[in-house]
Amino acid sequence: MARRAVQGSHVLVVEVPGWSETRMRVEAELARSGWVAALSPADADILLVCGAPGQELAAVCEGVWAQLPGPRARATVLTEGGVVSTLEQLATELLDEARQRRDARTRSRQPGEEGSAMQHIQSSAHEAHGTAHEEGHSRGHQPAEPDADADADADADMDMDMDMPMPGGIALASGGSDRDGLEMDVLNVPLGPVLPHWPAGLVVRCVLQGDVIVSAGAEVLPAARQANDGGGMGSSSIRRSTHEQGRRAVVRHSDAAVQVLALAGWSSAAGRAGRIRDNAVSGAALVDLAAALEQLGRRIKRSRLLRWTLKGIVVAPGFDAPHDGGSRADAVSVRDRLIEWLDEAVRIARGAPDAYESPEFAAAQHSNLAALPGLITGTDIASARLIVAGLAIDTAKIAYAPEPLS
Amino acid sequence: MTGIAAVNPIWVLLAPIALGLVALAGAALNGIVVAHAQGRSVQSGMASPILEIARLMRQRRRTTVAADVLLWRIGCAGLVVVALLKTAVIPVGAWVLADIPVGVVWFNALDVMVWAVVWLIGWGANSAHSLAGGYRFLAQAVSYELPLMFALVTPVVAAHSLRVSDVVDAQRELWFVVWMPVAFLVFCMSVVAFSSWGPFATAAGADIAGGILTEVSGVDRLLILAGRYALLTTGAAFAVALFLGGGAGPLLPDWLWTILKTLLLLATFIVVSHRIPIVRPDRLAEVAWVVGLPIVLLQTLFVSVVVAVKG
Amino acid sequence: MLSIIIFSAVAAIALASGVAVFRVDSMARATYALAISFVAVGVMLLMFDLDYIGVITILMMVMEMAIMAIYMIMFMGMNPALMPMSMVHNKRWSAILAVGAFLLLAGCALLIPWPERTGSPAVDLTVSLGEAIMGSKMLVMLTVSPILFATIVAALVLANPRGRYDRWGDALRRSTPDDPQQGGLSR
Repeated sequence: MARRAVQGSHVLVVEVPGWSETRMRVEAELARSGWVAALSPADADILLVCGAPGQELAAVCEGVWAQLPGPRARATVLTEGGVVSTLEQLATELLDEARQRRDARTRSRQPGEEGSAMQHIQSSAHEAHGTAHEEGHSRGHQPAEPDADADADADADMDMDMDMPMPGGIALASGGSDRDGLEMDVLNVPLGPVLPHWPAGLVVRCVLQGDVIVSAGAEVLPAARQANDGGGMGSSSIRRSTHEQGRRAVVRHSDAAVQVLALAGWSSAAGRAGRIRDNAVSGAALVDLAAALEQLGRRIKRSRLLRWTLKGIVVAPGFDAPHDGGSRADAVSVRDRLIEWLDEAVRIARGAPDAYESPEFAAAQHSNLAALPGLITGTDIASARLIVAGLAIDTAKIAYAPEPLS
Repeated sequence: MTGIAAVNPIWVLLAPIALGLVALAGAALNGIVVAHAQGRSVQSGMASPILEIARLMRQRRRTTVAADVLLWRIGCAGLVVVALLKTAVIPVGAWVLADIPVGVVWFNALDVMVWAVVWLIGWGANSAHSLAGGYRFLAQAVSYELPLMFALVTPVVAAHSLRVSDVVDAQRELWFVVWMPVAFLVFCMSVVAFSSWGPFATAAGADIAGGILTEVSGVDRLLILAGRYALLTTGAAFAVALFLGGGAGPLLPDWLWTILKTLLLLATFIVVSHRIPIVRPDRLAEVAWVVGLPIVLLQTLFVSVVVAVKG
Repeated sequence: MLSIIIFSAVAAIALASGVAVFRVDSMARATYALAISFVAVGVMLLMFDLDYIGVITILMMVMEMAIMAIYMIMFMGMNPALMPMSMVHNKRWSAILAVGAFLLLAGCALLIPWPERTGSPAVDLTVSLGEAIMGSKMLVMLTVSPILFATIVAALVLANPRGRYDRWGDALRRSTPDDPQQGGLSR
């Protein structure tokens, strides 16, 4: 039975900025072998870190590792070529009963007593962390208020006053006015670096009231070093052929499409886009992909349900009309972006000559990151996730901080 | 309590097994669809529910800081229990566990229990994403519940009885799906919605890291996932009894027809759900109340008029 | 005899969970303890052969408790961690009123000379119960329900602090309403 159990393992993939092609290779390998990408640490048997994480990101990985239920295994993969062998090795580790029992004995039964390494980061683990107790008003048909939640590094708070009620060592939250002027609890929730369909290393620290983001701050947790395939800041110094740049662009666009479609819940379209991306990564001829991309683009343009669910989720604000009553007709929505990517990918795949990475690309990522908090303030979590996916920030261009020499 | 038919002892044992097998078939079909989309073979897709069961049985349970364990575990176990109770009123051939005179209302009462159960799962875990999932389910449930109730009333009006076997008998000449298509459609959508499946799966959505499934592992997770498939199965079986004529059909015996139709409807639910994006509860609310409810009411009106005219 | 035992057991459950509402440490548990109490009452109705009313009671009460949990936690909220909390206010007067009501109702139940049963129960209890309670005023009863619904909707519309002009602009000519959360139909 253990063999069968391992045959269907779930893998939590943590991508370090700069190792996106490795991550895509991992996803392709998972799809090929029947393993599943996990949505949360509780869902996972295996933690696979793609790349060399910097200090903060490594601490986050430790926190996530502590949350995996046994039997569990972890590994780091640094090159595309090492993916298959790493996965096989992980499978063997999971089957190794003695090792799993040893691991299980070292863990305590109470959450929050392990992982002293994560003290210095508030947002160590994967899920939202923050505490609240609710008082406030709920609008009728909205997805409503999150309540108190778990924080694995509660030990940091232990020296507070004892007369404050603190269940589990976590303080209860205070209230604040929400957008309707009602008093509602304030939750500090970091949308962490380890989330499904999320840019690598991005942390968006939100202040939530109910489901609605009241304020946000975004940053990218850097990698320890540049990836060998030149995904970091030094990429412009490497001369690449136009064909190679075109391939990279197609991969980038289809990956962005996969994220948006997966967050919109359209699994067959997301799967289709994923296949196209995997074929592009493994070096298939671009002209073959062009037909598939075009078909996917047609399908997405035709889908009225997708247009309806993504309506109003704006990725770039348009100009307000001068008089009252103007609609935001110029605003770019997530759906527009999605269609743009697919059309661009088709164009490049058909052999457009100007498929190089413009020098403003890195600067554009920085400005996207800066614009992110403004765009998601006032929206609910679901829209915010779609907006982040719609911005498609390439965090590899932003995050490259070498480890300090010590 | 009067009106409960004598229970066939064999069926008491067989009913949960039948439910489990059909639900497993549904899960296998889902696995096949996923495997096909990923380019794998059909066999590996079919085996995926078994692999998942093995994996979850081997996995340890987990808890979070300051979780409400009592309510959480009750919620995790509740979905399967509710699905089993729902099968009690569904006639399969000549067998039925409890042909109570208010079978349709019993079914409705149990799918309201699902509200409580899913919310308890979301609440118990003490995690923001988990709770968001639980509340999303309630927001969605408020939207579909009234159209569902009226969709359930429609075949009852036509059959003049709340007993499920009476509704099946009343379809001997003409299946209800023919002249109540709106009610059938609304009922099917509600089944998908209370199973947290397909386009109505926001409670377990990827954008909140799995929603109610965020913090559960091991046996709890297995119970929730199995409960979803079981609810989908019983919903499909009930739709067959209410709208698709129950066991009516040429050549084969009643019970086999019922099971075949259930499998067909279940397959439709599973295949269609992959091709549709997820509906967000805040968007659904306006549509359900402003468009959905009047349409279902018109359907009920039409049926009532026909029944009144026919005498 | 068996039915008396079952009835007493269910009644005891109803009472015990009712008491538990005030004794447990979290709002969610209080809400669901109340739900158990209501479900026990529904079971008691089922024992009176009132099938429809019993099952409908269970349905309605569970639905209400699920929604009520949202509000209870909002207004008095506690996190899932169990913290001691007090749900009673004005203890002296509520105790006096409660004991007084109990004595009054118990006295009525025990001391009123209830008539002996004549005849046998009707075949369709729900119909006969409905006719006995509402028979002479059936038309009023039929119209009351949509009127109640319309009143609830109207009250919500009136209570909304955002009016037409906030949503549609001063000239009521925006193409889509300016809502903080867009609805599905943009009405």
